[in-house]
Amino acid sequence: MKELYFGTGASSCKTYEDLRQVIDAAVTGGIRRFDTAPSYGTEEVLGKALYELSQRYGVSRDDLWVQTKIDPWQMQEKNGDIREYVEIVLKKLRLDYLNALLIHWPVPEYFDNTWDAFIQLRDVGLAKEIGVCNVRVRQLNRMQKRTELPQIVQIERNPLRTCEGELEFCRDNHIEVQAYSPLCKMDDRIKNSEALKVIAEQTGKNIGQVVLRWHIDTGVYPIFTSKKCSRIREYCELDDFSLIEEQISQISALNANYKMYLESCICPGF
Amino acid sequence: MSRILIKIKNHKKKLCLILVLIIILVCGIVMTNYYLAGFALIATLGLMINFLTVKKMQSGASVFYAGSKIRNIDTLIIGEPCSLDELASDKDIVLQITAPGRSPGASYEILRHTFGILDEGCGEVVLVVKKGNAETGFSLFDIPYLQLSPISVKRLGLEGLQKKSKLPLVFAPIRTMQMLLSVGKNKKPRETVVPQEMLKFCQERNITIRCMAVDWNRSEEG
Repeated sequence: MKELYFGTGASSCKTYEDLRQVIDAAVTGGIRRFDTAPSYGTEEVLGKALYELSQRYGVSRDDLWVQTKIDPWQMQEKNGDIREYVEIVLKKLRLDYLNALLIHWPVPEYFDNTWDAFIQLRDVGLAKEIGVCNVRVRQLNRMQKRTELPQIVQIERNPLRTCEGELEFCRDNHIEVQAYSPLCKMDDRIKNSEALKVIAEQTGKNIGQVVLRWHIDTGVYPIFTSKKCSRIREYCELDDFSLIEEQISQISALNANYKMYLESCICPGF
Repeated sequence: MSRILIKIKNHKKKLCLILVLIIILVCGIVMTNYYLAGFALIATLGLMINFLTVKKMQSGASVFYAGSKIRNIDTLIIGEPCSLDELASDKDIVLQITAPGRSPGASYEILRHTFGILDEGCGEVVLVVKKGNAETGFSLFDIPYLQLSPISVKRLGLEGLQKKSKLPLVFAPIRTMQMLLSVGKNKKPRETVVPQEMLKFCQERNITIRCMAVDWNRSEEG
């Protein structure tokens, strides 16, 4: 599944043994893209698990995609000069380079310095691509005027928050969009949605699979996580169906602009 | 989960302390040691008032956590307590973040932390200031909103105030009582000029803002 990311955030396993099992399920299910961050506390265990599983299943480094982030406290601590943290995380992840490095929250006070450091890190090859999480078109416009646009944008996106403006901007500017909380933690409005139930029946899939397919069919890379290996295997089976235009519109119509994470709280003055 | 466990632990600790003080009170009365009984009574009351205030402060900020379903509200009122009659219609979803003596500077910083809860494109902020108050300082009643961001306390140099916010009755006794008794909730606000910085902030984010002033020297309460 080249479009699926496996996330190791708040809802994922934290210990090595538990994480290794779910990563194993993801790798055998065909997932090659993995997402982490310092605040998740999973960088080291993810690195160890990926190292072991890559050897066991013969997955080369070129086939893997590993991305991490720089957290607000790191931006604050070094006033944006975050190279030291990147060198530390590369050791934790047992890698020579990151496929992508993302700013976790665009904290206004430290954003410009951090972004300048990101550009330098990409130029020396420590990160192949650079990006920003939790941004809106307003911030992207500002970045475009000041230096350059990110290659990746990661946002909270799901049927209750379709982010049309951001998607359009990114599509026009060839920016990859990743969606975290792609299932909105199976909010009741998703779990009990009649539209989703009907589409699930029509496609012979479950609601989670339908929503993940909706992300992919609208040009977005979903980052999902689960502690259950059976669920992970289920979500890896998305290649054998796709949604028609009408089904996509029905799912998009669930949009309520609902945010689980308020950007302004974690990133004041956002 | 850890946050919940800490809360339970603290809650148990407080209940134990109150229980001990009640036992001292009963013993004091039985042993006719009225000084001891009086001390225990005052300490128990104090602890309960402190507990209620902290709970009130924290519950106001809890709607901003990730689990909350409260989003896309119509009106966000920040600043001094006042009468809500003319600030929002009955149909509006209103969130009030007010505390007696809140400075305009603190209100601005709270706005920077909380505006994301507004309905995008049509939400309104109402800033309520005390007439003549142009302060920029923070009080311990601002902490629950400022600590929503993991880096704001350090950025604003509020580490000391954060510790004090656990004991509002000790460090801000008058404001604590004002807050518990909802003093000022009937004060009628009058429209005034929006501070330039806040106006610019809101315009950039497509948010409507109004500024209201309450006059504590006028007796229009009740």
